[in-house]
Amino acid sequence: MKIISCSEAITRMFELLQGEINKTQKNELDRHLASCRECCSRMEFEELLKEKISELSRTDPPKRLLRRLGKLTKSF
Amino acid sequence: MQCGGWPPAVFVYILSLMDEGNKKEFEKLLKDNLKVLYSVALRLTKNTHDAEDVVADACLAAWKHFPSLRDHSKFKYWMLKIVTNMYLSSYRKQKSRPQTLALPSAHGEANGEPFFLFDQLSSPFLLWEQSPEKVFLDDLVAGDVTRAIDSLPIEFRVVVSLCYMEKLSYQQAAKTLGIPIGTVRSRLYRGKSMLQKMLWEHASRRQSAGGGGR
Repeated sequence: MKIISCSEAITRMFELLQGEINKTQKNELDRHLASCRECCSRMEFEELLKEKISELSRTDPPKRLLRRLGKLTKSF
Repeated sequence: MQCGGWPPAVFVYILSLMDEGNKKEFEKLLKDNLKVLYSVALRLTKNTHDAEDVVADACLAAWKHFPSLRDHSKFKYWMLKIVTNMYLSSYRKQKSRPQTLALPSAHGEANGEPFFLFDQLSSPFLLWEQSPEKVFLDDLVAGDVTRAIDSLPIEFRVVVSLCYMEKLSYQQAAKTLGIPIGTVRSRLYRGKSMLQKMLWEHASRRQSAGGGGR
């Protein structure tokens, strides 16, 4: 198994968060994270940040839109 | 009744072919995914009225083509694609208007170097009473995120919104936007860097103003 640097690990972390990583790359990342405390903290932070940004960027549709769509679907 | 370009008689005939079950299913799927669709439309248009128009127009277009969607588990992705394309086609039409011009794309990546919030939070020059990452995340509010997303140039905003926030794969985003996968990847990487830089700037401003919950 290839030993990866912190810089390679950071790139892979982002690919992992996007679900765009293969099994070998994931294993290499896991091995790096097991031995690097800073990358481990970084990974945890990036996961939480992504979750929080996604959550905070969600907005409930206004009632005006619900009424509009209600009328629209009735006309179908 | 809006007919989306169809002659009214043809439109009515098409609709008459839809059975009631199909309509109920469409309404249910729309209701389940409306928050996501509206949120994406709002991130792209940056204003509530345009976001509502995009969602309503997308809804009408989707209903017309709903029978062609065989796998209803893909409804969310299918609708996101319609919403995004609705917005992009109206954006392209309005592109010549000054108010829709995107901000310069250089901000967020001084000297072309990617910006990572984690590196700033780990700076030894900052004195934190608690874990800086935790404090940052706890203090983050919706307004910061909205302002940061709104400041992204459109080509980055759309990719960040679809891939980072809505978890579309590179392939799905590439197909939706009609651009190569490599372009999706690089725009996402740069877009996230700009987003993190903006969030950092908002947090720093709040901290210097005496806020920040510490």
